[in-house]
Amino acid sequence: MSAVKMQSAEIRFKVNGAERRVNVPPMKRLLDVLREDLGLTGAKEGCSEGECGSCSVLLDGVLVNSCLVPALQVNGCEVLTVEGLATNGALAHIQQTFLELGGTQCGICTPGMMLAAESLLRKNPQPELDEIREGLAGNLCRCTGYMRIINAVRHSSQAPATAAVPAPEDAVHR
Amino acid sequence: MRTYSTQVVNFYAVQEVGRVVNPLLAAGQIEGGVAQGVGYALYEKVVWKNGRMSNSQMTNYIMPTAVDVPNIEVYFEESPCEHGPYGAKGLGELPHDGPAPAILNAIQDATGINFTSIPLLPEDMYLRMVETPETVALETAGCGERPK
Repeated sequence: MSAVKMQSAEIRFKVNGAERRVNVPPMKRLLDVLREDLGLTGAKEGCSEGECGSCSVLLDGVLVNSCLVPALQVNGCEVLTVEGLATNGALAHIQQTFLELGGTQCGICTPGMMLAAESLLRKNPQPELDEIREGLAGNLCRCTGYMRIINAVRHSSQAPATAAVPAPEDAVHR
Repeated sequence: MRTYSTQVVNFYAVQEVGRVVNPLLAAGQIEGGVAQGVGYALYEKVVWKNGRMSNSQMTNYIMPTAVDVPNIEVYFEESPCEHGPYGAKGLGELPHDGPAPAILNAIQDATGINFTSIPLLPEDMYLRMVETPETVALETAGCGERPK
């Protein structure tokens, strides 16, 4: 930052349904506002250049990389983070399927993946396999090979449950 | 039109990992390793310049996305290991070994060219096939006319 201290401004926006007010430099990244000022550490910092998707949040229903959004741009908007998916401690359907089908390994991509899935399923409740792959293509994952994430999204959609990967028990030859 | 690009459409992995303790997580580890192996074979080129990596960003160091990773089927052949807990062995690194040779062998099958370095980017394939066609015996591979 330059020698001149950046002035703070009051930003009001809705986060996961609750009205929030923060005093932050207007160009502070939404990711940092969420993590540092609001204590919502679900969104993760990965590449810091809008390529990996681990900081994904929904901004007025649109999937965005919160590392590229300045705080002033969210004034008056509504933000949904991964913390807002569960209701009263009960996991959302997409979280449940990630849990049961092994959609998470190290967990860094998981919050962004869940919001990408949420965004996809809001627009397209019964996505085809190719549409799921396309819908998750902005979110990088190093651990899972994507198969189990895709499977979790497929099971979370209203489409008839058909396994994209064989049940793990069937693959073990004892 | 030749694009010199490679797409992996299916991948079958068979691993011997001692006894499989948790089938769900074990298969997930193999799938993840295969996805990294696909990147290793086709995308992830580290470019060095003056002792530094010059493409150290996600914009120019390309790793596979959900669209690039093929359907992966994992099978285990169990052979319990007497030294491991409950007969298990380590399995995190195993799946890196197979994809690159398997993919380059498939490319050799398709083009008749024995590529010997990875990652094999389209530009690498182009250079080999167009710039030095004398090293390429395309006719014998039966994959169409020699590029001009």
